[in-house]
Amino acid sequence: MSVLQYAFMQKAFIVGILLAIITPCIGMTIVLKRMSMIGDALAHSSLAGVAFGLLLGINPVLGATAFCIFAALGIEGIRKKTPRYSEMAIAIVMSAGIGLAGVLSGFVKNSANFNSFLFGSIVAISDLELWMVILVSVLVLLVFLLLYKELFYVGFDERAARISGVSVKTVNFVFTLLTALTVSIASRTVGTLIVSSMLVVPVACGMQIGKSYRNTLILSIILAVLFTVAGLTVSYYGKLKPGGTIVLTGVLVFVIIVVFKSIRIKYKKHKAVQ
Amino acid sequence: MSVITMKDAEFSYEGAPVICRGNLRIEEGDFAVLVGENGAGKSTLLKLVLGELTPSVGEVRIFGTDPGKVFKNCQIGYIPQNSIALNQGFPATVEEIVLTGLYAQIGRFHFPKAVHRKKVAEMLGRMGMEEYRKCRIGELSGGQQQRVMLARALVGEPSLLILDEPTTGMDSKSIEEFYEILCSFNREARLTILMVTHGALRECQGINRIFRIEEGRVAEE
Repeated sequence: MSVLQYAFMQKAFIVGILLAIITPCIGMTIVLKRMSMIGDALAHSSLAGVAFGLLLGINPVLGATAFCIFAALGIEGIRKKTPRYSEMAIAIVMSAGIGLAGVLSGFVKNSANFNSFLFGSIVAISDLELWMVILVSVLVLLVFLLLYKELFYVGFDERAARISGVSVKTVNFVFTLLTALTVSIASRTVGTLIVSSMLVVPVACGMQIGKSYRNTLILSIILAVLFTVAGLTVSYYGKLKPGGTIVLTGVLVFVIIVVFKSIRIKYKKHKAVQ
Repeated sequence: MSVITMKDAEFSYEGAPVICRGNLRIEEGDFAVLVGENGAGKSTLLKLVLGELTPSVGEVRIFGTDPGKVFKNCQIGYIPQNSIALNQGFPATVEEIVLTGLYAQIGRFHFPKAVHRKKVAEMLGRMGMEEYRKCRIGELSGGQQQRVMLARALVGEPSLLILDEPTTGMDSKSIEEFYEILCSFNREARLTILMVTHGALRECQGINRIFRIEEGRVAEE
């Protein structure tokens, strides 16, 4: 396969597939807790971290990770203060992230480097970044598997979970850190403007066809890997931006599934009437 | 020993009193109902019992201890209000949901085993829901969904069951069947039940104690 003859494309596929495996794990709980926009808020905060990192001359991904964790904890903190309007926390942190990124970017000299974070640069991954993705992916997967049961329960009913003995505060805290890590690492590769879609779109597809929680999660991961492989391949041959192509592939598949499903339901109803 | 004790509990929201010298004592094997109009303070009282709120004056005890400590031992089964209605699209099967009721027995960082699935199947059988084990929860009717929630609350064999407006949105036949199951557990397993409702209680024959809450004051009828 000529697409894999270049080292940068091999790296892109490794990173893309690893992210495709971990993003639905995080995205599943995010969607079920009705916090789909959290990815956007964290990604924009990570952009402020990127600018901060570039200004201080440190690795921008480390800056993004630090800002992302801080933003994620901020969201949790505000959510606790305003439990009835928890989505407000996301909007506040997102506004702060955008504002800070806007102000700090004005001081960044190498604007091309900063702009590369907007839509990502999965084909320009350094070895350090590759190892960071591998490390974060293993960590996220491991913790996700350990907390699988707890995340399912908290996603379904936080109050009932607490009464059943689940340490909801700890689970939410750990999950917040995992989300921040995943978003910051994915921001570099697929871009801050797209990372939220990576979290949500495969899960949205999986939820349309999955029969159970486990089944939906597995389907979401398989679909995310397929979107990534297809998106990278199409972008390579079509000379398109990889991050955008991956997400558009996912959205297209989502539309196809929804249309197919509604036609099927209508057909079934029609048949039942006859 | 009393299962639930609330002694002279008071609670205010932003200075406005919601619970005024609330007293409640529920004994083992009671089937108690807390009734009251919307805004009378039912939800606040339940939050005090569930340890989500702490009374500014007085105390609340479950099995003689602090509510938070009881939850760790999983002695309480709980059915929240509208939990299914809020999760209609939740991608989980009936079995997966009922398994969450065995959280304490399965243990942290462990996955369910055959013995846990057997318990779930047996409990669903008692609810007349075994054939729906592999169905997605959103595909069931309101009455069936609430029986699943009841199976989840009871599969861990708790000593106390707390229900918050469990029959909201159910038709009268489903309500009757639901109450029949509750009564049988109360009678046969001496399960203590506290049910919060503002609905009619005619369908439920097993209730032995009724508490009414009005403007934050609790009185037994």
